Amino acid sequence: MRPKKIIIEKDVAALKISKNIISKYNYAPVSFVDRVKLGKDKYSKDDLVIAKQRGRFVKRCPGTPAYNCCQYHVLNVGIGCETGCTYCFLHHYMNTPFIVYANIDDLISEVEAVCADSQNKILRIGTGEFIDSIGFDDLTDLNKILVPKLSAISNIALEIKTKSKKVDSLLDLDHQGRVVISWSLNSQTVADKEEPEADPIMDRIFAAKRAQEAGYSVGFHFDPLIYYSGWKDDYGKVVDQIFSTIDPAGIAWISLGALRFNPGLKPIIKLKFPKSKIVYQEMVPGLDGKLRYFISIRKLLFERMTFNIRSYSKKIPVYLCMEKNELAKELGLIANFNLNS
Amino acid sequence: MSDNNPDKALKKIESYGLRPGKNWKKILGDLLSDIAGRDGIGCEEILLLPDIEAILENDNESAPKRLEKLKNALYKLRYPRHSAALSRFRRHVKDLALPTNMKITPVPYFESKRLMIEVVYEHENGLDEEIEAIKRISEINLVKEALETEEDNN
Repeated sequence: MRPKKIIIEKDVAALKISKNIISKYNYAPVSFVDRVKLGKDKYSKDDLVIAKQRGRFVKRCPGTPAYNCCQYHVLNVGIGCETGCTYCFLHHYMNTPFIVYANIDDLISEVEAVCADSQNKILRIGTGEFIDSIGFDDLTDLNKILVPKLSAISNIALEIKTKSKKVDSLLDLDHQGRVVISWSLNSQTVADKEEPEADPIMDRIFAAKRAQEAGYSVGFHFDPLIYYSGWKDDYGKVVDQIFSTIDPAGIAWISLGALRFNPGLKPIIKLKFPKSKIVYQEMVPGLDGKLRYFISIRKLLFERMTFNIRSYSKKIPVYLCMEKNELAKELGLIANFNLNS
Repeated sequence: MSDNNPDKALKKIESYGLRPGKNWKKILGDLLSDIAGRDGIGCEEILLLPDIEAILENDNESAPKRLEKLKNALYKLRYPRHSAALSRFRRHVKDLALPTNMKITPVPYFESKRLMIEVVYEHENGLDEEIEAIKRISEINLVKEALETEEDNN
């Protein structure tokens, strides 16, 4: 990101991460405020806000009503992503600036406390919900702080989720085997059309290989799977590429999720991405009100992907994201995936 | 480049003597716009499809009836798999020959295998026939049959 303007809350102005960002983008005018109040037309998407997180950093993944939930915990370190994927829910927040929460010491204390409260469970916590966990490092170098600090917690599985190939800054970090770097994958056809700013799929897979060589466990998320003419062969090729590049023994998990979004996103996608066809497939309201492919299409996608993956490995945990448990069971996949069962 | 804006097509629908109100226009407009976007054609071209044109030109039927038929035909074009699954479901239910006081409903869009069975019961009539019908229902996996895998042309 190249912010046009930086707005910083005085409470966090003296923190190292804030100073680093200001010095990195020393061309950008900086304004100091007591407290940032987001509102319509107050800031643009080219602005960068450095703020204090006054709420919780760690939240249970909201999942979605009436479908399964993998007990994931979301670590909210900021908001903003530059990959510009057509299907991303962040388009709901048009003209929202990039936000970085700078009180990282509070974040670390909170994660320690949350993990201490669940000592006999391994908690899967990830930063990739509102940001690209590696893309965000361009701004913050956050992983250099989080990986060594949080991997010292004995019952954590910290997930760094990304579409980026830039793993260099992570390779030498002390991760103690408790960090999983995972890549959101798709077919290259979908990546070309719907993930215009993200790195090519093969680059992501090669980055995973490098991470694996550095001792990290890796994960893959085929989410959102998109149904289009040629999907079967295209996705099959990606699975082939994974298993010809990555050691299956070091794959922590693979998740499958079919395209879904709140109905309010449909007109936004049509308006912002008139060339995208993703909203025109047979999408119907699910039990949670979100639009999702009609069940028989989802089954086709999941069945084929499961077949592809299982033809290489029967051991890798493969789970469905936000689907009915009955569907996971029917496909022989894990319902309610977690690391404690 | 296709035109997804349904305004002209909606005007054309009106020219057939149909008077869709605001809600009808929203329903028909969304269906037309989505089909046009998916197939890369203009909304007006959809109205030239033989099945659609036949509905529009059928002066023997009332305007409300034609609107309903038009909506159903467009829905079938927009949501072919769901429409086909619903038809199969209805066909299987018909084959079960349920008593007229019984109704069986799937979860919307078959998102779950659950079915709702409604029975209107009057003590004097007993429940023998309904119990037999429920047994027949339990012998067939209606949702699975409705969702029987179609050929995937993609």
